[in-house]
Amino acid sequence: MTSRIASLTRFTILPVLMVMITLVSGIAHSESRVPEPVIELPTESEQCIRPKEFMRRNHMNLLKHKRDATMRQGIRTEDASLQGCVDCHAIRAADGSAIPVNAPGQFCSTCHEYAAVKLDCFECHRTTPEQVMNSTRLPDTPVHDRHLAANDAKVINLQNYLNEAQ
Amino acid sequence: MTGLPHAKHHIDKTRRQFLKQAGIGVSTIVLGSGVTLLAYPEASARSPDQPASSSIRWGLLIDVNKCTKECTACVSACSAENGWKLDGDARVDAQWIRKLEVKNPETGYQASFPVMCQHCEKPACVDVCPTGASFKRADGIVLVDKHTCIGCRYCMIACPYQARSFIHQPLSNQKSHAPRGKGTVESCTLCVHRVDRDQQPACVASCEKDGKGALMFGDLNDGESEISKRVAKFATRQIREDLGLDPGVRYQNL
Repeated sequence: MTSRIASLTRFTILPVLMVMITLVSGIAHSESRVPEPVIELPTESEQCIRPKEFMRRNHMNLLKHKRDATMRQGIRTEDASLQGCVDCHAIRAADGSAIPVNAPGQFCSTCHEYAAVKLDCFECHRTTPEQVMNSTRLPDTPVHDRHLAANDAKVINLQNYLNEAQ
Repeated sequence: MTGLPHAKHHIDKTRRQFLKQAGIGVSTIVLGSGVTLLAYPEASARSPDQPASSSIRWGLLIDVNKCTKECTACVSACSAENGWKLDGDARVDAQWIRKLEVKNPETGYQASFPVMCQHCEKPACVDVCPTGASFKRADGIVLVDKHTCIGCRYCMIACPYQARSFIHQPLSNQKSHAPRGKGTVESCTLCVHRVDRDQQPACVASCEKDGKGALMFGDLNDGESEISKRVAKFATRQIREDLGLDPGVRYQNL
């Protein structure tokens, strides 16, 4: 029984393995048929939230972890937020408008096309940085001070005053 | 002997007076810092790295007597805040918030008020969701996790308030704080992004500013909150309270 297995290994599996190794190493050494992606890096900031090598392998894990924490628990730290990625990585066109990160040739799509991985984030998420929230349009009175702020007119006046003072 | 107690009494009196004045000073400072807090919305009750707490139950109180038929400040504010638009097709339009008009045919009494997701304690939409996308957050806010929503629309059928809608068309330029996309169900989020920053939902803020001040937002679990006091003092109703879903949105004078 043992000798039969040994002979099987020797005459069947080993040659197959050797052929496979030769093939794989051959592919690895040959020139890629598809040119490697050239990524345009953001000009305004110098450093990503993690080292480049880590991000290339793990950005999806960071995003997924963050997504669940924010969606399910309401944890809204800035680290690894998709909005943060977009704010940095959307490049400005000549006229100053932001180019969507998933547009052809842009930061996200370049690698995702190369790796043939479908990019699903932007079915729902915004692809360009957004202007600062419209905090002046609505009175942003903190909820936990509601009982103190019965006289909201005063608060709004104070805000106007501060705006004018600036 | 008589002089000493008198002197002591005098000292005590001035001391008390001093403490009283000092007390006033402190309260002024507290009031001062309170005003500063009100002026700068950065002040937050919960730090951004802390999860939503189950000790809180967010709720809305809508005073139907104050709400008028013509006013749609809450609807416009919600649309602007969350980036949805109505196409005029009632079959597919977004249902984040809508004004409802009711009439009692016997008495002729008419009322107009907004209806949005009622953020039920026992939400039917969560019960029927096959993927767990429809869920209730610890602080009582009912949401759709669009990452796991498969667009089956069971929740839309289950919701007795018709507060959910489905996105049929591809979208772009969404608000970064309110992601929306084709093939998923959506509804009022109680402006969860604002609530997490310790701000009121957009509808409440705009009703206060441009509307009639008919909406109130707060923690129903906190006995000291304005909404709890109002709910304790006045008779309020939940829509279809017979269903036993215990909505977090309550109506006064309905």
